[in-house]
Amino acid sequence: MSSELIPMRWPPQWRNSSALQRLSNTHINCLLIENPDSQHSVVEQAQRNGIRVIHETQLPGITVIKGEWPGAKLSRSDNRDTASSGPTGLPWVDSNGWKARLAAALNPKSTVWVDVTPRDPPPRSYPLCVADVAACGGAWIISLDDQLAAGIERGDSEPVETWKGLIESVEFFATHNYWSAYLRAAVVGVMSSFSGDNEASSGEVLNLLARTTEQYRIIPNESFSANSLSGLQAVLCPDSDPPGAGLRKPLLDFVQTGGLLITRSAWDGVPGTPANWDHPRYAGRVFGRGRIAVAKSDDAADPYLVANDTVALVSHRFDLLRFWDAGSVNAYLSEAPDGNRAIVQMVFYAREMNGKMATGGPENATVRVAGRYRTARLLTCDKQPATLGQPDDHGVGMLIDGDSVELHLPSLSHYAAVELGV
Amino acid sequence: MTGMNHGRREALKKMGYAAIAVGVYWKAPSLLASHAPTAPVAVGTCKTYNPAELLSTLGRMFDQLGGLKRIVSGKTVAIKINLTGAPTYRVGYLPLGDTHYTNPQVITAAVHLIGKAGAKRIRILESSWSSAYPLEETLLQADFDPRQIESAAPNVEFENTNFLGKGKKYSRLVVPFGGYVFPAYELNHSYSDCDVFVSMAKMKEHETTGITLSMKNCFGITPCSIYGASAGIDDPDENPKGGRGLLHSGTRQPSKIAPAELDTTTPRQGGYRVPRAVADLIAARPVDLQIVDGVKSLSGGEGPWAPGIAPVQPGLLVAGTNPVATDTVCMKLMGLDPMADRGTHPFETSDNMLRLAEEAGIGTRNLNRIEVIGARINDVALNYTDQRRVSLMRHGSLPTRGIFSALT
Repeated sequence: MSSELIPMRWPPQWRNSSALQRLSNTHINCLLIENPDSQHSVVEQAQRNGIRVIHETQLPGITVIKGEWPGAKLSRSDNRDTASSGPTGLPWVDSNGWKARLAAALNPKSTVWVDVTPRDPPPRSYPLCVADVAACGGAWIISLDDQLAAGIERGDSEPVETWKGLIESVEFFATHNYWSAYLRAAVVGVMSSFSGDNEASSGEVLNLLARTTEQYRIIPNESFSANSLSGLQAVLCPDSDPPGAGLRKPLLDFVQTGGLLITRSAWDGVPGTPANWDHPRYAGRVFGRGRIAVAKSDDAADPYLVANDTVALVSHRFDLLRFWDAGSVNAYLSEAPDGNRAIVQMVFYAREMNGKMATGGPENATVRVAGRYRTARLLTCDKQPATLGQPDDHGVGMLIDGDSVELHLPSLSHYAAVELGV
Repeated sequence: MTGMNHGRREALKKMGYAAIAVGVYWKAPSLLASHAPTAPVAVGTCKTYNPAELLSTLGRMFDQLGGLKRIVSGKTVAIKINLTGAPTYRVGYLPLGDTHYTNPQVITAAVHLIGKAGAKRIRILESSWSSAYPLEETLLQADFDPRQIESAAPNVEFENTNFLGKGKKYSRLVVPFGGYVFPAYELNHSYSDCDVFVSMAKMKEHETTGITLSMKNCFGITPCSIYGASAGIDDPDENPKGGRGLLHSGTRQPSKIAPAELDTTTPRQGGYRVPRAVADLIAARPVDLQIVDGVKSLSGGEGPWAPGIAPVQPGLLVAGTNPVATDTVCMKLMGLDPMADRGTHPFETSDNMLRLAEEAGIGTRNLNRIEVIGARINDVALNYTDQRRVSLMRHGSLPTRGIFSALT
């Protein structure tokens, strides 16, 4: 988490200040209390404990965005879990990760908190809610549903276990907050105003691009700088209107030096010569050492198509992360500033078992990571770190293959990270 | 309905169509079966996917079949590889080419030899799972390197045949004997725009059809844009999603661009329909050369989703010029009986596609009529069922995804 403050919405059922003991030895250091006047003893004790108490309207330096409860849409059918699917037939996933990343890109000096009110969530999904946002550098405002808060207050075993799992996740990310200094690796830059008529569609592109595990960088038009395109293979401009004149030159320079520009809208006088492409939705041009793909019509504007066409136009050849048997996963690769270490963070929303989707992480996922790494350490919220070396009797381990490594992961729950060393 | 009586009656009917279609005398299926064409089948042992071992083994096998040059020189050669299911599924942690996909090294070696034998153009074909993106992208997702295949010979191309693809229109390929399920199929242009058609399969069992070899590999030449779950009622869906449910189950007809079924009163069951569609397809698009990758494979099913699967390492390659004869030899090499019929292993719930193809006059499954060249079947056969049992003993349960890690 980039924020030093770790926020929690204080449950109104916890009226006794003794409930604050639940926060002792945790990193939770900020409480949002709806009616502080009616909770004097809690407020005073919290402040004595060094916990900051704030009102929701007093959040300087913090951008709060509304989110939704994360997870794959699973429904009960014939007593078995089935998944509600998106246009691919793959399960639809709700995630706040892309929203947190977008908010951070639009408010670079601000800390991002995601406000999600739990409404009858599966108890085991609380840690997922933490990880979904924290893996993207934000913080979920910890909020308990009424039933859970009351159960914890009573000391019921299941709610207490849920609370412990939630705290484990919070502690994990607080302990590893140095990852926020790592630089996000990216293949594609998504460049948009992210506002007005483009807000909904460009946001959905970010959401669906994340589902492909393509590593991307968010580039708001307004904060474009000379470094915005560094290291990228491609830039996607999903807006209905072309970027302004000031952005045109750096984009064309990017193409001339070998990059790919994917744009929804035709520019006046797109340079280059027609390319020998066969794409149903994009016309190709060659310009310098690079290519320009211009959408032929608005049929290409569907965010699902935009996301998946982008991945194919860029090519899986440039995948930084490639998964097998990972179920529904969002994944993020970032690198230490000194280039000696990298971290792969994986948030698992659902797994597939015998053709059916279920909540939880995969049994035996494999991930290929591009790069010359020699060491790997598996980190999870609920277990001790484990070195991934030569595959063990169960096949769990790491295979080094030239310019990439293949990580054979054990059975996992909602989140895992692998720290790689060169 | 008994398989034999129904099969005989059905074949008689089909042969009647065939007689009309080709103007020959009508023959009873038994007569046709006994006169079904045969061709030599080469069997080679190959323990690894080492390129040098593959090249020498395949080269020797092609020589044993009379040389590749006579088949491919100056020709456009289309090679249908087998990439069953999504490229994001593995069996445990094993590479896809070691279990249920045609291994990329086998593809590369064969492409090299076909190019060396003078092929004018080589086109690698497959209908990528639930996708209309370039085939190269599916290969990359599977961790194959298309550039390696592309550089193995001059003029190598790839096409995803799951939809219209690079063609201007679909090609209608008519089933010469009239067809068991459909009288003709609408296919990607690549299956007609070629002089030589190669089926490059994996030596596997199959949950629905008992086996999947060079014949069953051709089930995948049907585009899901027309025969798939998302196919339009009237027009193809050029962004196809999902599998070939309608061919399996017959719950609906293909897009109207394609001919409708011959008889919608036949069983709506995969074990009935798929073997017949396969026989139709290999008649409509004759398979000039078969290459079956049995170096490493899978027993108990065709992919990671099948229950009770286990990896196997037969260390075999098989090649031939008649798909029924080739698959007959493959079955014997897998410890299976090519004469088995519905109700007996491996055709517990399916009709034997070899019998159906034989009765359609495509090729023989009578091993006595097939010249087997190279390794002797009895010396190199690997009983897939026994291999699964060995795996069971080692792992305590039948291995499924995630339970085992390495090849036994």
